[in-house]
Amino acid sequence: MYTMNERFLETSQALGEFLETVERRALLMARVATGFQDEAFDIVQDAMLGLVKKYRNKPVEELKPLFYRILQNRIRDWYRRQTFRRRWQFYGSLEPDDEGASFDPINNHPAPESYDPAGILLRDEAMIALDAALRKLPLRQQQTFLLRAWEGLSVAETAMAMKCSEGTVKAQYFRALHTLRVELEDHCP
Amino acid sequence: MTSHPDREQEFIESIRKTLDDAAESLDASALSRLTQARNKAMETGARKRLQWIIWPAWGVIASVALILLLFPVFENKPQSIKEVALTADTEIISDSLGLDFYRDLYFYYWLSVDGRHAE
Repeated sequence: MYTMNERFLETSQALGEFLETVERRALLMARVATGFQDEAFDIVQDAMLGLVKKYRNKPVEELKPLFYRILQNRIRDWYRRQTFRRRWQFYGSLEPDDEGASFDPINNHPAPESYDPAGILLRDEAMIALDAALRKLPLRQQQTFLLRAWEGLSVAETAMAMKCSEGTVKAQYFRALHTLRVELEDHCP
Repeated sequence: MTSHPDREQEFIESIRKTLDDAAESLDASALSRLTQARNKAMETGARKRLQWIIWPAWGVIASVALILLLFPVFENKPQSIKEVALTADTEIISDSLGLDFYRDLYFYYWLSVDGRHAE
């Protein structure tokens, strides 16, 4: 007889094994997106917690797109917080000019933050170049490319994870691929 | 000469390999933090499950306690006249003697009293 407890243990084990298979990739995706290893760890941990809380009873084969959807939500939340913080800092540092002209926040937006040197995991030249090229891509293109090309999600699964249409996924993936080819001309075949 | 789709596939493959190598070469402290994060998530899941078991159990216990508490109150409540009459009517209708027996009860009483006088 299959008891509830046995079923729970089996589900937990499957869930644990699933998280073990995706955690490294998720960490790298979050790190590429944020540029900070500590922030990436927090995002991945939040995504794991979210998956276990909400979808622990789902079949394992359905977990991957759900996990990446949560991860993408956490990355977007992180970006929103950063944008808010930057804007706050920007307006805080504003000094009215002599003519009282208004500032354009987009033109004055600070450049992307540099890497946290202690958190850099990059080992070889190819990865350094790839990392730099990926970070130049807009967030949506970058994550769409990683989900499709690296994690191997289908167009439909990627659309579900990124909360966009399949057409958008195809367009974003194509643009990312094109940009990366140009950027990595010297490093890749 | 390789065709365009082949070159594209080769390019994607090389990117995938570079990323896989980076994921495989995570240092011990990063792996340890990931394991901790995973364990924490799994523990939260187990606690959530326990809550699902505990809350209904508490509900059952509270209901039983409430019934036990209120039972004596209903038990000691005095019966009203209406309730007594209703109980008597129900007994008359439901027993096996039939309505004629109750209609003739006065006759049986008279018979038993007057019969004794006649003797």
